[in-house]
Amino acid sequence: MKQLRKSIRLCAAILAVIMVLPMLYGGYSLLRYGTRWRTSQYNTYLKTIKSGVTPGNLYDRNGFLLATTNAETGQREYPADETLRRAMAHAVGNSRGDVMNAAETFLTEYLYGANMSYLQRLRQTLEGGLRGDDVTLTLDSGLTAYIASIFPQGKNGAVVVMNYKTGEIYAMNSFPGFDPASDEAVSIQQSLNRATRWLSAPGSTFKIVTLAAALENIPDAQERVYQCEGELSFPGYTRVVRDYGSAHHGALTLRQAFTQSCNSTFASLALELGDKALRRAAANFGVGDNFTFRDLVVENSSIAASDRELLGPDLAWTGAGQNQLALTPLHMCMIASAIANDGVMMEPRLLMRVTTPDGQTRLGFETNVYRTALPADKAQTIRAYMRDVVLAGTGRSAQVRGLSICAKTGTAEIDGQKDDNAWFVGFIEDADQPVAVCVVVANAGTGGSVAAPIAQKIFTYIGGK
Amino acid sequence: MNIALKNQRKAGRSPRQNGLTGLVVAFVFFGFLLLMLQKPSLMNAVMLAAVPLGLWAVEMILPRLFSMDRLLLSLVDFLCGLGILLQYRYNAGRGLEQCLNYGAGLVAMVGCGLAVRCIRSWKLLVLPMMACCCALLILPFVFRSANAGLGATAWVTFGSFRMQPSEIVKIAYLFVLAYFLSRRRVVFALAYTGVMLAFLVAQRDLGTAAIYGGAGVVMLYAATSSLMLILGLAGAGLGAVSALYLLFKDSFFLTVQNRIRNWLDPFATYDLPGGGYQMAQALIAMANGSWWGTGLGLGDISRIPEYSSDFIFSAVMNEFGLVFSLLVIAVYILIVLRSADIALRSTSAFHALLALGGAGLIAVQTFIIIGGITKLIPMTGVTVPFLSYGGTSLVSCMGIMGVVQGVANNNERILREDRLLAGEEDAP
Repeated sequence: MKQLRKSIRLCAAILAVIMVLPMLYGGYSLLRYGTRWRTSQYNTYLKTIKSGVTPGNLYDRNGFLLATTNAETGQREYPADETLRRAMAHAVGNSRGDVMNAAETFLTEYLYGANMSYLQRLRQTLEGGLRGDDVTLTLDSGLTAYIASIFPQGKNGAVVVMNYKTGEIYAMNSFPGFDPASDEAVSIQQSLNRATRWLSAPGSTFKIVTLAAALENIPDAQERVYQCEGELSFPGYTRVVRDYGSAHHGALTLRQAFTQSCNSTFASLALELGDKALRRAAANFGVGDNFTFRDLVVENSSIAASDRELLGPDLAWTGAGQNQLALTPLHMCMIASAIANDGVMMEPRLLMRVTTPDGQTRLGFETNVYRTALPADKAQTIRAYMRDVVLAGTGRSAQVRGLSICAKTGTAEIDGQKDDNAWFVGFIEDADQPVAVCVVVANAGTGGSVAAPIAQKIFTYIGGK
Repeated sequence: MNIALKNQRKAGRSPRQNGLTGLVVAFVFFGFLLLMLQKPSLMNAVMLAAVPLGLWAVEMILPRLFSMDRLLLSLVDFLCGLGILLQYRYNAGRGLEQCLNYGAGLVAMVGCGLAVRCIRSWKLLVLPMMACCCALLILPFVFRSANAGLGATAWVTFGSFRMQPSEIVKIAYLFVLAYFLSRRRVVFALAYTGVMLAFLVAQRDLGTAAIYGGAGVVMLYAATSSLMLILGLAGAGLGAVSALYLLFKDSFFLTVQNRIRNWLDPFATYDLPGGGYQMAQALIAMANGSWWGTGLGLGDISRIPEYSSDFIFSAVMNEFGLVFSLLVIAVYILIVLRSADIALRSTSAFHALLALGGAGLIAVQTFIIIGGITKLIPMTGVTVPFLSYGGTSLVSCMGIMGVVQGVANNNERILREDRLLAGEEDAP
């Protein structure tokens, strides 16, 4: 009986602990995914939350009014300037909620005052109706409108501009756009926010990650001389790795291979690194992670469709930024930002301030480190390489006099597309202007010739301020 | 006789437990009062008076008729009251029916209690009980057509009456296992558990199989204190289930495969047939409730198809919030701990194992369903003890509590006899 009693006590304790686990997990999920679930398109209860509350205003970082509610009609209104309205459409969204997880939807709990205390609620009801909080976004409407004006007409794509030291997003454009003030139906193509939800192969811009992996895992990677035959074949496979435009780079150092964006060299580096090391480096940059940023929903990136080991041409092409890689423009911008910020990747932020109707700050801005992607010294090396890309490599057309710009271009070949996707990621190497940019133009040509000039204009705009 | 009676009265009337009864009654009263204020109607007014009064009467009268643990009774009553309140809030008819189910549950509770108390020799009963269990578990296969379209073949229907035999068999399983294990017939206990599990897996009712298995493991460990045995069995069991699953995942266990897929990402499979729709809505209901809830009568979980049975706890999380839900779970834990306490006080291994097994059944069932709706583990369709709508579920859970109460009653009888033997005087 004594032994039995002892066992009973142990069993009871274990059962009690087990029963608490679901609630602990529930609390954790609520903290991590609560906002995402509440603002999900499937939540019919949102209507109940919104009813009877006048939503607050949305402002850009300079106090420019982006969305407000007309006191008489009760309709949501957007800026009078149509270009500006269209440029901001994906970041701000519209009242119908066409854009998934845009500020108008995702920030519902602030705009509709779900965080109000019962006392405030009571006072507001007595004063003549509930009103939500005003939200100031980190976006710069002037910059966003400027980007919309220089982006090639009729092309699809996305542009992200962010502060690599704080994570503030200055601009987030997606093309094609739509007019949030119009009642016309919005197609899925128009409403898709390509900056955060468009997963595709980032082309050679991903060589930043391959380079980081090589610097960390291959001690003499920088001293070696690589041979580029213009083509790399694999025994037992028909698929080969070719260089862009069938270029033949000959003997070159790692630095030259990066500035010339030599596929063969990076393919052979990927083969030498192997599946594990390449995946680990990518994971350090957040590839494969379940993003749960506080202010915006970003699709999760992945290195391949499955966890199966990448071999031969698959592995080689992944190292060169192709194969099954799937990243969003915003994530590529974050990767460039990590290089600029000594390896530290900041959490992207869209929310600058939440203000109550009587002018008090409910929530201020705070920066948050998302993860450390690589050691500072490696980031400095890559930065120097990226500087070379602009000075003497594929990114020459992004050069701006007086600014130290570092960059990497990419030309992503997509099956079934006539032209390639043009990619550009880069940043200003200057603590006073810590700005990183990612430009993607779909079906347009090479990164160096199409995306880099757009970035050059954006850098000029920012640098001229 | 006189002293024994006094003793019983004294044990039955501890002031603190009266306070608990008051709290339970007040909670249910205020719940119905809120509903009444939101929508005044004669029906609501009747419920407002009748349900708290009924619960109060049960807690006051029942312990006098049949000596039982009043703390345990109050805790169970709280959950049943909460269940009736939630069912009534969403569907008045179901609420009324749940009251009847509660009545049936009380009968089952007293019946099981009396069985534990009065039946002294289980030797003759065990074999017929085992045979009955098997027969009952075969029934759903006979009524196969009634189960068409459902995930599991676990129901039996007579006209409009529907029941799940595995719920009732639970109680018999508890007795049989306690009997064998108290006599150290471990092999018999294992074989019997194996047969039960085989039936349940064949019914594709993996949730219930897990409850049987979990409670069985608890009793087995308590009886043998052999960790190696438990680990070995758990390993073998998991191995067998995984092997079966991998072999038949595209045919027999297709629903199970769906549920695992829906567990990994319910929002991704939202629109597929048999997809994550229900699970996603449950998570949304939880998020809408957040920490403090929307308030009783102000939330909405009717988008979850099975909201009145398997997903009723989503209503608790939705309208009362996560903090309150944790307190409700604390009530379940108290029930389990109190049952274990009753097991510790019992003088025979059979009774100790009965009480502990009852605690195990309730605990594992609670874990499986609450874990399911919070997405900790894949969803398996089992009911929430005491809260879910449905007669069989309530009868079975209250029957299990009756078994524990029977053990408590037995403990007290023995204590009284001991006192009498020791010649201890009871001060008037």
